[in-house]
Amino acid sequence: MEDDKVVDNLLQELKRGILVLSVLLSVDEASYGYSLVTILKEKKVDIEQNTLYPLLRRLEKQGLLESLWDTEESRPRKYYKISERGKEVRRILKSEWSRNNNIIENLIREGGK
Amino acid sequence: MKLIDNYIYLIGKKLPLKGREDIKKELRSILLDDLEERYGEKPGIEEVKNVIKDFGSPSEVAKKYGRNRGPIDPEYTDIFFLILKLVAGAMCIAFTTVFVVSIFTAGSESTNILTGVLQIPLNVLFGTLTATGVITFIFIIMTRLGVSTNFTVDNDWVECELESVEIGDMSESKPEKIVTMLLLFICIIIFNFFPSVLVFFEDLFEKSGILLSHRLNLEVFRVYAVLLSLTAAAEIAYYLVLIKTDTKTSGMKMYHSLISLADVVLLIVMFNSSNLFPPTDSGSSLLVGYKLILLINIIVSSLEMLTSLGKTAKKRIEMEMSKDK
Repeated sequence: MEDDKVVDNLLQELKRGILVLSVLLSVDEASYGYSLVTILKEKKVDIEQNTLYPLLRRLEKQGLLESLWDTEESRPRKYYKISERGKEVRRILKSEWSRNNNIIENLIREGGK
Repeated sequence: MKLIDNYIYLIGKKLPLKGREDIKKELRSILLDDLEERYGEKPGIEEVKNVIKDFGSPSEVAKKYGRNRGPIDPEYTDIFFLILKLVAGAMCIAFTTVFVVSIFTAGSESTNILTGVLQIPLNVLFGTLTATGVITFIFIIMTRLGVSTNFTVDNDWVECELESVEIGDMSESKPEKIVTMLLLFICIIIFNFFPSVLVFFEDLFEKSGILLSHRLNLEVFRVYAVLLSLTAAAEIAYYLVLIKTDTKTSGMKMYHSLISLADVVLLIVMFNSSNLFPPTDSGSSLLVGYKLILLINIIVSSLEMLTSLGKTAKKRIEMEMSKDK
């Protein structure tokens, strides 16, 4: 039971960083909250709705996303798109991801199975 | 979409003020998108409840929007405030008990009793402030150490209760409710155990040189004190539920209106009782004394009641009109 909790916490930590990069990689086109959930699910990214929406707002606050309310449709929707700063951060994260991925792959190959 | 609006209203009450309206607007749009995607353009009530249930309790949702905002992790917010409330309540009981015991053991004159009564709220305030400091410190350490509580006040939350939620303004503060409860509690204590304090105030007033047109008959007042205490206790119960649930349902509003009505009727009966307020020999034609306070109370309470009834009726009419549309 205690072990399950430890594993859950570790998985959550691991996922937290992946989610930010996943979102930054999916908002080149302006997308509203619900459509982004669908896009991420199609790409097999496991994310709960009520985790994604606050994350979008946080990234917006950090200047990584830009937002715009579209009031012309039948219901007003808030669209998010990656900002220039977001693109720069994404580039750094991507390269860091590749570097870490190689390290982990090597460690696994060397016997940490 | 009353259920959605009620749900968002409950979330909104727990959100930080900054950005609250924008978050609420976005949540509404997201929930309606989800609803439409899953159940089409005309979903039933059960389907709306399903979407809300999957989205999570208002506390859970609000917490996710408040993460990393201060020295105390939002995960602890519910339990932090619950402990503060319990501590404040315990302080009230403790200081009142100490005061009552000191009267019986030491024996006191009316002035000492009055001083003692006035000291209770001060002692409660300072005691609670000290305890708040200690509790806050403990929670800051817990946040630093990342201790997990997995505790939410509304973890037994059921979405079917949403229908009875009544959307009001968000101006009612918890300290206001706690102060009201405290004052009502003090009134109950004075009316039942120290009614002579009321006569003491009459004597004090007459020392100013203005003569009273009537005086309070303490023997008769003891009977009314029981009735006044009953309405005060009913009101305390109302505020306790309001603090616990943080939600004013239509049933609770009705209950509060009935208490207010009973209170006004009782005050009118008291105002008209010549046994309760026998006239003095002053010959004053002006209403000087407790009857004047009663009259002001009757007017204010009646106006409050009428305003509240007017608002409810207006809301009902608006709801009926929106249904017809």
